[in-house]
Amino acid sequence: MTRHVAVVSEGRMTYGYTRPVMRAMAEDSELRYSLIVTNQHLLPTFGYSVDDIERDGLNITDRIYTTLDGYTPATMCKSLGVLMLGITDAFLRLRPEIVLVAGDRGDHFIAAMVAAHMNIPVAHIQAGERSGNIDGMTRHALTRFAHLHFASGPDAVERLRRMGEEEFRIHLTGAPQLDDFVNGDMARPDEIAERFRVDLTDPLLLVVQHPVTEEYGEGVEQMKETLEAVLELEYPTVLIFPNNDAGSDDLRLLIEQYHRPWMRVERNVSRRLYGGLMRAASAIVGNSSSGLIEAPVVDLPAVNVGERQRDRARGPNVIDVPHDRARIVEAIRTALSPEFRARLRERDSPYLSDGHVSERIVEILKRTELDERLLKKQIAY
Amino acid sequence: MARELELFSIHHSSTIREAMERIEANRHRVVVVVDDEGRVLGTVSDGDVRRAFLHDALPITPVTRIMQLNPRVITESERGRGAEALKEKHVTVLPVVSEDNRLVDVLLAYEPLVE
Repeated sequence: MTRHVAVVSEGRMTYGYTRPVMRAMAEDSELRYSLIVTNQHLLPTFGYSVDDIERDGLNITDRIYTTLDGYTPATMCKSLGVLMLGITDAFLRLRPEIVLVAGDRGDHFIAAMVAAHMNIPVAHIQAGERSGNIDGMTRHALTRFAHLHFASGPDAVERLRRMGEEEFRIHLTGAPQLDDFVNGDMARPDEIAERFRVDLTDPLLLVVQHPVTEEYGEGVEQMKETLEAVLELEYPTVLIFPNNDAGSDDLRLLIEQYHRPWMRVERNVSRRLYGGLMRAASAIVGNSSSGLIEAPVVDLPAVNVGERQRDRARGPNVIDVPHDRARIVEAIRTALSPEFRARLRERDSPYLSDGHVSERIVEILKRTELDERLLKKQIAY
Repeated sequence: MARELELFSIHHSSTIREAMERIEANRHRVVVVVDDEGRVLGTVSDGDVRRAFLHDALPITPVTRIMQLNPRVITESERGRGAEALKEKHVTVLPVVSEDNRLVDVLLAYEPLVE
């Protein structure tokens, strides 16, 4: 009998984590998946990234519209409430044997909490990692509702142990979102040059900066510092819209006002294009976790601005700077220097990547006994 | 100013429905989205509206949600090569902007098909 796994995807952030796992499941006769798509994926502001999922050939079983307009802390919470109602009905109807979630977003926490209450085992990709702010709280709260933890590195394993999670639940798998990159599934430089109308003989900057929930109200001033730095340098730039966390509406308007003809602003790019952009870029600027996790795979320097990634493990490709235009300009110049880039090849990233992570995860999803021992958690201190 | 710019532009607070009305009126399949100061923020085409409706968008959805963010434009100083630019950029409407990105004119690839 095939085992039925329900996968939850709310936006491009965690789609990269689950996409390679779903693809591996699609090729495995012992597993089948249902895909529940929600939040950002379904919204025009973020370029209907649900279309990317369809183009990837994955089968969407449910579309749960949740997101209230306004993008304030209050609408974020109410939107999560809508998901809680919708996903309960989806699980009732689908009757999955495992629910697979990923990362540190509130949507996944809600999915895990609902599944755990409905006695459906929860498996969590990117468990135990350190990340700052509300995202970090969400990730570790989710751990308490998860029955299987997939850790991307030994430090995450150790953190899960210290949280009291039982040894048999913890699996050191690596980070599945790196599989595509390691296996070279990314757009070629000539495709990038054509699609984004950029000349790759110049340095290319990739800018991704999200609002930080705890710093609600400061996002615009923070973004201004980054955009001023970008305007000062005037290198070809591809900027991708922030996610829809509180404060993001104002950021999008600001970006539109700072938009110059030599800049490309994108609501969303597919995973394959994003990989291609990272490979073609000379530096990534902002506060996306991809600067810390994915960038080392393609030897890409990252200028990490502000506190959003405060507690996250990082390799030598990351230059941390505060929200200050002069410091950002200086850091970008350092990142673009041949000496800095040359140093990157010498040391390792804290994130594991051998290109076979999703296969390991699929194996565990297949082999784990779905019994009382799995469902009844002993939280040991 | 060569043309009635209000036929070819729309304020960023407008809805998809208003964009459709403007496109219907100008008969050139595209409208340029501008801010309070007349700076070009993007464009909305027939195709953008179609795609939004296929995703069950409502006519009251703001145009900023569906507009193209990287419109091809030329500056006033490049206007001399306008005809050439229209051809190589494959657009029906090419906004002409000032150095600070304000809409000053539009160049058209075709005359309207219907009067």
